[in-house]
Amino acid sequence: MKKLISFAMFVMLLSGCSIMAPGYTPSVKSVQAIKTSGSAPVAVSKATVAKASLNSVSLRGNSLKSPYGDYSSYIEQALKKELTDAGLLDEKSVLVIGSQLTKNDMDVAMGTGKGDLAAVFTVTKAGKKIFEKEITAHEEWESSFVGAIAIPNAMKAYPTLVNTLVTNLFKDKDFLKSISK
Amino acid sequence: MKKLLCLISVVLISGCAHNIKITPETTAANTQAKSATVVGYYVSAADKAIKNTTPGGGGDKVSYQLTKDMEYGFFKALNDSYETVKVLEASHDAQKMKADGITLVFEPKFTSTSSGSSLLIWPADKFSITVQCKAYNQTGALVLDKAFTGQGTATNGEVLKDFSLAANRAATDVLAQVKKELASNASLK
Repeated sequence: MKKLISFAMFVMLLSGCSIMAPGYTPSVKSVQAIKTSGSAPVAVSKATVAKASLNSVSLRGNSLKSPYGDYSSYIEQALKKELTDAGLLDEKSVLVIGSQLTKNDMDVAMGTGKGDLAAVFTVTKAGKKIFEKEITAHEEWESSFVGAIAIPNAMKAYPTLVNTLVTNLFKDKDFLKSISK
Repeated sequence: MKKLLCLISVVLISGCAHNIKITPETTAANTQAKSATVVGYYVSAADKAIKNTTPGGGGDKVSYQLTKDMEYGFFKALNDSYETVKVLEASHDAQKMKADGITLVFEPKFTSTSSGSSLLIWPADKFSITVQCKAYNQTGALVLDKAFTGQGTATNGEVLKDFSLAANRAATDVLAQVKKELASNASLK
């Protein structure tokens, strides 16, 4: 009976409500890779979205909110955290990384959850654009028929998806060339 | 029909473990001067793969990869305290330490407990995370063997919006203690 009440209450409490995505945590691997990338200190400009709908993510009817206000800011904060921890963020640098979110999909299917992110990243040097490319990221995770399992699993996957996007950016040879010392 | 669906759901959900991700707060600006000492740390792949399952609320459980989730925060505490932090692939790797000029190597072990006071919701509202932190010098002598325990609590209202909040607070608390030790312990300079 306790389980029945617990489940019913949880469904009621979660239905249509908003939940917070976990904040971004860099990975040791990505920070070490940025540290040794040969990058000059860089600044990060305010991120944007290609269309307003990209700033909302729904997990089976529950709105997944960004802890940074919106999802373009999530990408911006991820970049800033990685660069800060690698000792390479300098807001006064002439090299500025910009980003525009172009895809932000989370599919909480019954068997396998899937997430896709894409953003157009730019690098400007003293105001002149020297790099522009769309970078993508894809992640899959174990999902479930049961929402109380599937939704937390999807929430947990979001920072990993963003970490993959940032890692893919710092693997891009043209990007690395544009920010090199 | 509704009753049947609910019963099926309850059977499927009974005693299940809900995944959470622990995210310690690591954004605080680092104001302390960094030591020039080159340090390393080692966390085994086996430890990172461990899935920890501890009690949540409503008789359910919460599941997470404690060591994997805590690794970055521990690295950040070292990174904020030392100019150079290297990742070791093996415990007590004297050869690597010598080759890379690593003076100290840290080997943390993480454990946790949790509980949920609510009968109605599964997220844990009380968390405790312990780091048993060992540090060795180049000769393999133990220069630090100390346990740090962080506590985190959250209200039911808070955990409904952020399922990992109590765990995040415990993680932030314990890492602050580790950082304080790194700053104050002369044998770790």
